[in-house]
Amino acid sequence: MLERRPNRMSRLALLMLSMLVLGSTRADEPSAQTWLENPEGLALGQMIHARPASSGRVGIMNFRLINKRGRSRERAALMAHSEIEGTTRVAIYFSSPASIQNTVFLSHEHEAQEDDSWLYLPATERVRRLPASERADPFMGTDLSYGDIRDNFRFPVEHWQFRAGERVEEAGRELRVLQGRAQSSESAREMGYGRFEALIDETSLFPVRIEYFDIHDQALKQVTVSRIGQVGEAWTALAFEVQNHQTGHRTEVFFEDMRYVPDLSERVFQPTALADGLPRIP
Amino acid sequence: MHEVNNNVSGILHPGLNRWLDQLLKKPGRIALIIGLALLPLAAGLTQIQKDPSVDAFVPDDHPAAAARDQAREWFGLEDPIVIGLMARDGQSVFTPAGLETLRQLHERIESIPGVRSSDVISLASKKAISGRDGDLLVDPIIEPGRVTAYTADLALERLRSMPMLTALLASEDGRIATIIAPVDDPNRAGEVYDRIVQLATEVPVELTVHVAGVAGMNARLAAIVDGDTRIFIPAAVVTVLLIVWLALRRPIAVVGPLAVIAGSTFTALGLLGWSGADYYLITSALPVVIMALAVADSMHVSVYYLRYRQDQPDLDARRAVTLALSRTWLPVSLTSLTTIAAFVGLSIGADMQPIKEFGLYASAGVAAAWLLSLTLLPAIIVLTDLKPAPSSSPQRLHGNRLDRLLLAMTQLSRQHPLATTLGVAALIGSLFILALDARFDYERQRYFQPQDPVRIADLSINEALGGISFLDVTVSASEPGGIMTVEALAAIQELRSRMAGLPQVVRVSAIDESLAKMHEVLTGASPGTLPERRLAPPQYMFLYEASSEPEDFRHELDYDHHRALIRAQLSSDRYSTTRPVVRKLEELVSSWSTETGLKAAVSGRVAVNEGWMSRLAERHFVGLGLAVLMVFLASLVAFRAVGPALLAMVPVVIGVLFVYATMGLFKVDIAPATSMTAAIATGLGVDFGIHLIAHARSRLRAGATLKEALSGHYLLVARACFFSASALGVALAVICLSGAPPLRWFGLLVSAGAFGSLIGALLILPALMTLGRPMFVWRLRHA
Repeated sequence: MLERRPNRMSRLALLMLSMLVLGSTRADEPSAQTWLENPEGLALGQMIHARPASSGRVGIMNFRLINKRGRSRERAALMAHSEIEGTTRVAIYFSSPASIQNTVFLSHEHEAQEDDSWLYLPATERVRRLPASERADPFMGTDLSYGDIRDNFRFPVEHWQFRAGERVEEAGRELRVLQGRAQSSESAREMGYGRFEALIDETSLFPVRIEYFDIHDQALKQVTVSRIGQVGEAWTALAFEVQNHQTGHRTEVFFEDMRYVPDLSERVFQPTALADGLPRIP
Repeated sequence: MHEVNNNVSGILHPGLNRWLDQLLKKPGRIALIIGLALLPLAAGLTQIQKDPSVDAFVPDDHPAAAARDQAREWFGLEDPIVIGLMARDGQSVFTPAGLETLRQLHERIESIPGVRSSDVISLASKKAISGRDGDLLVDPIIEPGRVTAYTADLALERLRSMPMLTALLASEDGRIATIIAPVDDPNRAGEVYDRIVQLATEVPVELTVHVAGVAGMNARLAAIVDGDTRIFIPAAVVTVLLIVWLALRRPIAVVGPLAVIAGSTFTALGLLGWSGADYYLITSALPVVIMALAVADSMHVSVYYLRYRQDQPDLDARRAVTLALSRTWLPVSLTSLTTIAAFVGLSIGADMQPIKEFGLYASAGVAAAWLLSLTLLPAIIVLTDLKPAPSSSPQRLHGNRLDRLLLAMTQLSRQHPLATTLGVAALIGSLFILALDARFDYERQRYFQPQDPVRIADLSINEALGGISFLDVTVSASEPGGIMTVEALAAIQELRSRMAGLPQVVRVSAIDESLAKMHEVLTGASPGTLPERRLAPPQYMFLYEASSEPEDFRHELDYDHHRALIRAQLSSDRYSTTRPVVRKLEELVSSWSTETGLKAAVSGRVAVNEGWMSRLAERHFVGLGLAVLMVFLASLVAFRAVGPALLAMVPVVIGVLFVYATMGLFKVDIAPATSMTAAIATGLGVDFGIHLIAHARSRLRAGATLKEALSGHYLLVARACFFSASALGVALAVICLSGAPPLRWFGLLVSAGAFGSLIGALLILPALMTLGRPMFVWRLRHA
């Protein structure tokens, strides 16, 4: 997958100059006015962003959506995912509940052009193009946003400034604190996030926990990854939970039978083939 | 000089006499002990929790209350504060300034503590469903970013494409846009209301903001009553004490009654606080009622005491008060007993918690007033060495204008008993006719003065939208997902259609409208048509969620599509108007439920109000009847004879009739704020008859003729009754100055009842005693 690589050297130089002018940074949390990206943070953010992608993986995706009153909905689907040459394609073939069986969601996310997504509804016997979604829009009634799906537990370096904090120990693992702040108000509005605070497993470069704050700096949601696995070369979240602090809604996701399928058929990701139902997948 | 007759009933038992005599040797100690005993009780005032809501009257077991609680749980519905944004010149509010203001207000209101921020709705949060080439589009009504003239027009267009939002979030003509802000506790939203009112002052000058809604009006009413009771109740106390001063003619004479008033009020309210009971809207009247009764007891003891000191100047305070108590302890005890009986009857007969508790704590206050009148009051009289005013003389009994009037009334009644009785009967007849106009009714806005901002706001919002009094039906399928079926949605549509045909109904909305809209844009079907393919409804919802929040329909459909809400907006919340609508709806829902197999229950604010008002109407006369019965039984026990007991009921009945006649004459509804006034009048009014009958009885037993029994000290008793009634009447007249209509009504009705009882007692009792003289006298002499 092609990635844009910002001019790392120039950003580092600018940072060092800023540090010389403003004085040394402190180890503890700076105030909002003096929040500064640091080289370690930037480096970590970039490494996370450059995590190997999977050319193809397939698994059973189980959703459990729970509202603040404890009522829940459960869904199961076959998910196919592929990241090749600047395009991420996701196809979700729902198998339960019965009311949405054979409904299919498909998205093509492009680096250099507008994304496309479709939804096939058997009841209408028609594949419908979905309107272009903002990154901040909720994904399929979950607490994930379209941006979260697209980013796949990475932090787009074009939208974030990073600051690495201390290392902490949690559940027998050493994790690194990483804070992020939206590069601009436009970025914040586009993502729906003003900043985040995350704990990163430096071995897998995978976030273990991310606390997101909205554009008004109010706590928005927490993403907790309880299990990751390596599928091909890519680390993948196999079980995670998203808790929306503002609505009280929660989404629990876990994958079963996740496997590496490098040669996924193109039919899996073709909008015209959605009405044919679940294709054969090796 | 009028001799004290020691051979009358009411003389203290020698043992009690000695005990009292010993006690009064150390009046300071008595006062201190009683004062210390009252302190922990008074501390209970700090424990009082206020509940100004009308919902406190809803019995927990009422079906509408249960349905309301379920709707709250399933759909997050709560009585809201409703904010209406309008342009001052009556023009459309769909302008850049108007919609920007709406959006900003929405955001700011969301952030107010106490507001359920995720449930606040307005055009700033709602979306419009539309389509393009058969694809579903879900767009915010107000486009993000700066509002321009184009996006303002677009917003109006989108609103009009969503009929389920019109008449609730905005009028179709664009004159008003609303924000519906549910609060955590609609009965205690005072701070939220104040913050929103403050926000309303910060909008551009060409716009105006009205703040109302059930929670808003509750908050405003609580603030008015709270503020007014802080002013008018102390003012009523001061007024009462002025009357006491006028009656007893010595400033120092008010100290004793003041102590009794304070002690009995602290006892009642302190017990209320310690017991964890809530201080309801009607509890505001409790101090006034207790004060009235405390003053009556104090007046009788004080009047007799001063008379003894005046007639026997050599008598010291201690001896005089002992003599006064010997005269008054029995009638004071009898009146307290009968009044307690009235309030106990009220408490037993009511199934509404605020009324039950009012009766209970009023009884406690009366009991405390009784005890303090016979202990603390004498101690204070002795401590202060209260003497009669220098201008008093034995001749004043007949020289005073009031006494002459009372004498004239008594003589007129005794000398012309038949005419008096017929005259009073005619009066009773007139009162009865007026009373027939009294109605059980309730309308929230009538609890405010016409110029009150919240009433104006409520009227403006209702006028612009046609009505936002909610009457709901909760529909339950047999299992999760059961609402999202073709059959269930068709049934809901059909019920909605039937509801729309009911009187007073402005609009009915439900989830079927949104499904029909989706079907229309996806398939080109005609508006209002529902899909017929079995899996279309859940898949349409799934499609909607692909572009929107997971709980956009949470106020109409529960999360697992098990239950739906059908909401009707009515043009009025007046009970008399909505009652037939609610009853009709209940029938409709019952038959619909049988036809469709879907469970349904009527709910919503209108139904809840109808529920407790109907219950009030059903039980009102039971409570009153029990109060009257208990008073009669207590009188029977006290007098140990049917005749005097029945006689004592005559002023009571006249007082009660005065209350209902006043209601009919002044168009005061029988509602929570006023429903107890007749029972209270029963408790107050029986005192006059008891005192007068007890005195006459004691004189007759001592061998006096009826003429003699109805003169002399009888007039003293009548005078005390007169001043008690005057004190009450003037105190309540002060309360009638309140800005809160419920307090005004209370003042008016209770004073009418008290005066009615007084007039009845002074006019009719001598006449009836005269008419029934042979039997009356014979029975009393041989009792």
